[in-house]
Amino acid sequence: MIFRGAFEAMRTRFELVLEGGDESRLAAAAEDVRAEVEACEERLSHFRPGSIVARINAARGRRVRVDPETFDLLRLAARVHRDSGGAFDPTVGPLMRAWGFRGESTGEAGPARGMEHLHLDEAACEVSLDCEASAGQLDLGAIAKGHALDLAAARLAEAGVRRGLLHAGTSSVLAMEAPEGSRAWKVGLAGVDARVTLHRMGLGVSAPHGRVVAAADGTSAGHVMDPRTGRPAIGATLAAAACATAAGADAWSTALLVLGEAAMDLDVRELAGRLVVSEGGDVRSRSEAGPRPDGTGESGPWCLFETGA
Amino acid sequence: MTPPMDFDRRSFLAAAGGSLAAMAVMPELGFARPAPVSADPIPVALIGAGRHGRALVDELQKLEACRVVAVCDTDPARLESIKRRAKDAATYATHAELLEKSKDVKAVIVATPTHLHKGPALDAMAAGKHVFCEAPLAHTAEDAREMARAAAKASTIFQSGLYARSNPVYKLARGFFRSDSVRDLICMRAQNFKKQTWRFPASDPAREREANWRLDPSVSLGLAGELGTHQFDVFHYYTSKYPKMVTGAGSIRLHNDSREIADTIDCALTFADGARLTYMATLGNSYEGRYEVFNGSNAAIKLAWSHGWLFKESDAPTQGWEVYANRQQFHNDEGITLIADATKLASQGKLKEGVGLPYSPQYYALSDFLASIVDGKPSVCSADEGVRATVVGIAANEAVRTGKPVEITEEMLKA
Repeated sequence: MIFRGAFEAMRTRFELVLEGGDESRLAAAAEDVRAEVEACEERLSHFRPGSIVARINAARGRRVRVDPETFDLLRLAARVHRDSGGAFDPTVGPLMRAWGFRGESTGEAGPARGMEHLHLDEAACEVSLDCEASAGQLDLGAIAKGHALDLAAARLAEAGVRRGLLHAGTSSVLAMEAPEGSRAWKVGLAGVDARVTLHRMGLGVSAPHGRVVAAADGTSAGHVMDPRTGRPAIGATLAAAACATAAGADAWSTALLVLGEAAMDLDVRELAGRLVVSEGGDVRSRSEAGPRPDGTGESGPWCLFETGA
Repeated sequence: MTPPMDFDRRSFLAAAGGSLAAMAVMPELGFARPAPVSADPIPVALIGAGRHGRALVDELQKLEACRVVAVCDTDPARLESIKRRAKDAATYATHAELLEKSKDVKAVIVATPTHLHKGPALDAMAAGKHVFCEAPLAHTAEDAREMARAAAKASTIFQSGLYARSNPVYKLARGFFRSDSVRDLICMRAQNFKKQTWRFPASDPAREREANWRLDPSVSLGLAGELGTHQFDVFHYYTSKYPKMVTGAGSIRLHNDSREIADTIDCALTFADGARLTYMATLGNSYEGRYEVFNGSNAAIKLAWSHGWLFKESDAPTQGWEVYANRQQFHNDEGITLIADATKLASQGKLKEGVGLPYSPQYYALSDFLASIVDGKPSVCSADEGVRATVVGIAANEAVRTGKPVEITEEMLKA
C-alpha cells in the first residue's frame, strides 16, 4: 500500500509518500507527521514571537533553556559553520534585512559575526547569543525544514513506518527505506542533468533564484547570503548535499552554494554526497557513501550522485 | 459549589459606570497574566505523552517557573520520544509508579485519554499534588463529579484545561462582550472543521485500540464531547449561562473505515431565554477551521483560537479607540482586530505584526496554572467549571448519538 499525503507548513508544501500496512494506519502516521512539523515550526520560526529562536534573540545574552532536539540542531549549525569556514551561518538575519529580504532594506551590512557570540552549554541544555541585535540574529530558516523532516521520520519510525520519502518545498528531502522491491529512492534535480539516488539519507538543494531583490548596481541579488562578505552568494547557481540527516543536508547545501567550486575539494566526513553547478553551467558531483559494487551493505545509509546521460 | 453567576448585561454596565467608559479602557488592559516567576522551578510531571502531551511539554519548556522532571505513559516508544524534548525527565509506565518514585513532583498535568483522567487526577490530589487536567474532565458525569469533590477537599490547585479561560484574545473579547459592544444577543454559532482521520498511529498493532480510543463508542465522547466541550465553554464563559436542551445529529460522510463515531455532526444548544447556539464539526473538510461567533444587535464577535474580530453594525455607536484599530477585510465585512495589549503594541509600532497570539493558548493556560501555585491564587478554571462544561459536552454527544433531544437540568450541572 502506497499512501500519498500533503500539507502546508513553514510557508511551504510538505509532501510524503509512505509504504507499508493499511491506508488508515499510514494516514494516521501522516497526521502525526503534520502535528510534529507544526510543533517544530512553533519552536523554530523566527516569525513567531513565542518560538525558541525569538526568545534567544530577545534574551540579549541571557541564557535560554531549550529542548535537547533544538540543542542538537544548534550544535549541528555551529559544526557546519566551523567546517565550512563560515560559509554557513544561521545568524544572517541582519544581512537578510539589510538586503531587503525582510521588508524594507536597511542598507548594506558587513560580514556576519553572530556565531562568535552563540554559546551552547550542553550540560544545562541552555543557549545564549550575547550580541547586539545589529551584529547577529539567529535565523534557522535554512535548516528548519530539514530538521522538521528528521523529526517526522522519527515519528514515523515510532509508528512502525520505515519506508517512505518526504520533502518540504522540494528543497529539503528525506529518503527513508525504499519501497518493497526497490534499492533506493531516485530524485531528479530540476534544470540540471543530474540524478541522486538515496537510501536513508537527507538531501538539501539550494539555489539563489526564487526570491531576489534589486541590488544598488542594478543587478538582481539572490536570497542566499555569503556570511563571510555580507553580500549575496555568487559562488554557484545550484548546490545539493546529501547527509545522514536532512537538517545536515540543508546546512551543507547552503554552504556549498556559497563556496562554489571550492566546495568540491572540501574534506568533510559528514558530507556523503555533493553537487555544485558553477556560474558557467559546469556540473560537478562527488559521492562518498555510494552503494557497494557487490550490493552488500545496502540496508545502511547511502547515496549516489550521477550527472550526464 | 458556587452556583454559576447569572450574568445580566445591564447590571454589569451600571457597575462599570457606563458602556462608553468601559469600552474606552478595554484595550488598555493587559489580558495576558505575566508569566510566573519562581526562584526554584516547580517540578512538574506529565501523565500521558501522546500528541497532546508532547505539545504541552513544548509549552512547559518555555515557562521558566517550572521544570518537567517526570513523564509517564504506557507506551515505551512515546517515552523514548518525549526524552528528546524533556532531557532530565524520569520516565514511568504508570502514574502510580511516578507518584511513588518521583516524590519531588509538585504539580501534575493529566493528558491521558478522557476516560483515563480520573485515576491519575484522584491519586495525584491524594498525594498532595497540584493538578491540571485536560477537558472534558471525564467520559461520564459521575467521574467528573468525583474529581470535583476531591478537588474541593484538597488544599492544592486544580485547574480544568478549558483553554478559552486563559486565552488573552478571548479574555479581551469577553470584556467587549460584557461591556455592551455586542448589545442584545441574537444568536451564537461555532464550528470545528479539520480534514483528518482522528486516528492515531500505534507503535505496535496490539496498541491500535488503545491509541484510537476516540473511535471507541464505549469511551469516546465523539466530536461534540471531545471538541465541542471546549467551544461550548466559550459561551458559558462569556454569558455565565448553560444550555437547557441540546439536539443533534451526526453521520459518517468521509471516513468509511468501519468506525461508528460520526465524522460530521451538528448540534443546537438552547438556553433558558430562548437564545440558541448552533454547532457543526467535521473531520471531512477544513474550510474556516475552528471559530466561535456571538451575533448581537450592535456587532458580532468572531473568535478563532489565536485571533479575534469585532464586526460592527453600521448603526452602532463609534468608539474613540476604533481610530487606532487594525482592520481586516472578510468579503463584504470589515473586522476590527481584537488584539491583547493593543496600545502597547501600537506604541512599539508592532500593531500589525502582533495581530495573533505570540504563544499558543496552551501556554497561557499552563502559565495560569503555575501562577496559581506560585501566588496561591484560585485556579482560573475550577473543577466545578470543568464539571459543567463536561456535562454539556456529554449531553451534546448523547444527542448526536441518539438523535433525540437531551435536557440539561440544574441538578446535572452540580459538581
